[in-house]
Amino acid sequence: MTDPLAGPPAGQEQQETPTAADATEQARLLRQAEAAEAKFRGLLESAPDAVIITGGDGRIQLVNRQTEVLFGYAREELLGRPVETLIPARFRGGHVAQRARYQAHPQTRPMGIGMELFGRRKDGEEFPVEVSLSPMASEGRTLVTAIVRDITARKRAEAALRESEEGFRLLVEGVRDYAIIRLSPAGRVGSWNAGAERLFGYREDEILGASLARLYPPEDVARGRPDEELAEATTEGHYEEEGWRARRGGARFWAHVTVTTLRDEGGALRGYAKVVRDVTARMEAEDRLRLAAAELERQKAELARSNAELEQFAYVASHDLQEPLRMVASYTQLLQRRYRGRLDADADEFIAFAVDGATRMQQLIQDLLAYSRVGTRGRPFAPVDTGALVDGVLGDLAARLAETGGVVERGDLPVVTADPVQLRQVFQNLIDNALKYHGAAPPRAAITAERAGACWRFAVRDNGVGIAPEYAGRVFGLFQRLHTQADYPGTGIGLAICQKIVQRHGGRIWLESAPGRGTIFFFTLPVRQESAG
Amino acid sequence: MRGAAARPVEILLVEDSPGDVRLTREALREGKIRNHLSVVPDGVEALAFLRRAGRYAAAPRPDVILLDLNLPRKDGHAVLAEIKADERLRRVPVVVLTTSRDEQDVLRSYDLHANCYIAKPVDLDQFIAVVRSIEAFWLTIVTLPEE
Repeated sequence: MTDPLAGPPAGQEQQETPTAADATEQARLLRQAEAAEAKFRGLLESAPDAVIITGGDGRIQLVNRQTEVLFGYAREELLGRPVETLIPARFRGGHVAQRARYQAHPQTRPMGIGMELFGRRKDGEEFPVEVSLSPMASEGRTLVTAIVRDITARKRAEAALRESEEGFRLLVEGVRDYAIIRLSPAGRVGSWNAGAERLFGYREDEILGASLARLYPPEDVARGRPDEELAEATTEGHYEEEGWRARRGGARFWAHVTVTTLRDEGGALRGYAKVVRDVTARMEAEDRLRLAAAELERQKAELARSNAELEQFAYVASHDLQEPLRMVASYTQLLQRRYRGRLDADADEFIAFAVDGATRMQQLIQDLLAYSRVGTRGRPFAPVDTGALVDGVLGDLAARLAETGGVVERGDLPVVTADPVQLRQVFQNLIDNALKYHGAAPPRAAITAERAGACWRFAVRDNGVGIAPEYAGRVFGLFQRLHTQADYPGTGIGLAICQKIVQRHGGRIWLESAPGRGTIFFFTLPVRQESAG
Repeated sequence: MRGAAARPVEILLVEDSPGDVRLTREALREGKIRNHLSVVPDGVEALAFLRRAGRYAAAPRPDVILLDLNLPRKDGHAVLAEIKADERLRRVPVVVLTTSRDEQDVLRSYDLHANCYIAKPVDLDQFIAVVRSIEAFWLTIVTLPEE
């Protein structure tokens, strides 16, 4: 730029005296120049990046405000100093060489493509920068304008993104139970995680680029299933199914597959994310469950049929067996009444045995019927006030208690969920036994209940003759008796019925006893919510 | 109220078991009331008797019917239903006297308007006592409809 203040070139005769117009023109040109310079400086000073102009000798000739801010120097400290001042010490040597090369081939370009560049502040702190260079010719040497941008924030964002991507990659890679596969828009394998390798048996290098069809059994490929899968995913955005897939080597497994379409912001198809899970185990478990349920149904039907047969048998026993039995019993009794003392003593005795046998047989049949009906004629469970129930039983026994001088006490008894008729039978039988098997002393019994975990535990205690431990199990058997009819009459079915009833309710019955020391019968009833059982 | 010259009470027993027939006869014999027992072995005969059909043209009209349920050909419930459906027959009290203790049998009998239901006791003495109670109740206490 020629100095507008310089005079006319040497040799040129200046005959004219400077006119006033010339002076005005000069002043105007001067103001124009100053304005231009001010504008230039304004631009420079307001630039968001640091602008540093260096001469061919590498010394700083001009800096802007942002340079001061970024590097922490006042411009006076920088002017005339080597530009390497602004660079960390370890790069300075190399930078000098680079400057020389730039002087040889100056171009407008970013500096140090592919290199990490750093600036150094006055206080020694380093920061990442991006630099672009442009040459400026002046008086035979090349000035270099460098525009420097602090890219700390950008670097941080890039690092965060990398970390996040790394995190996701680890996530996908690390998942071993799910195959996570990326497919290209054409359905070729683009990514393959550890789970995919485990599930399908292919290593990443073996399967990348392969078609999705490789994961299907051949017959499905022939039917066009892979294409259907992709087509549906593309139109619906999503595809889910359970079906057969094939491992490397051809082995099939039952898979749960979801395919999600990946689109960019513009809506263009970028590919598919496919997640596959091996649910063979679950399918097998379901099959087993179905089989077990079917078996259960079959057993239930069998049980129902068996019960129906039992019920029918019981009905027959009740009607058809009873009839001839009644005849035997009645006529032997008639004989007894009509002819006692009119035949000989033997005849009387024979007839007595016959009568006794017949009447006992009638009782046995009644008891058998009662036993069989515990199951076939059980009622639904309902809340039962056992206190009131026991009081009822004791009421029925009032006469018997009076004549034997027996006393029965009861504690607080709970409300339970049970078949009321059957529960009454249990108490009836147990209390009956308590009163029947008494020794010399008048019978005494006590009925109590206490909560034991998830059950109520009832106890019927007596002061009777007791049961020897070796028989404790047998007493619950059908028709099992420990005494003769002469000592204590009975059919031996009472406790068997009690046991069957208690078992129907989901409880247990047992006893504690010793000969001569009385007996306690315990039985439990589960505590349950009210429901029809 | 019957006078001393009154006719004996007519009882119709519908019962197929000869053993039971005989037992009933013996029990009635021990009672105090003069009675005449007619016996028919099944439901078809029972209705013929009541309608005085065929060989029963001269049959007496029963004052009370003792009806077993376990009968061949026509069972007791069917007979009961027919009797109670017949205008001319339904006034006669029907005492269901049967071995069954089945709840269903009891309910059905009452549904069909049996006058009462008695389960035959298994014990002879008790059976005799029951038959005599039937006599006492139906034949002396109760006022029967006149023909």
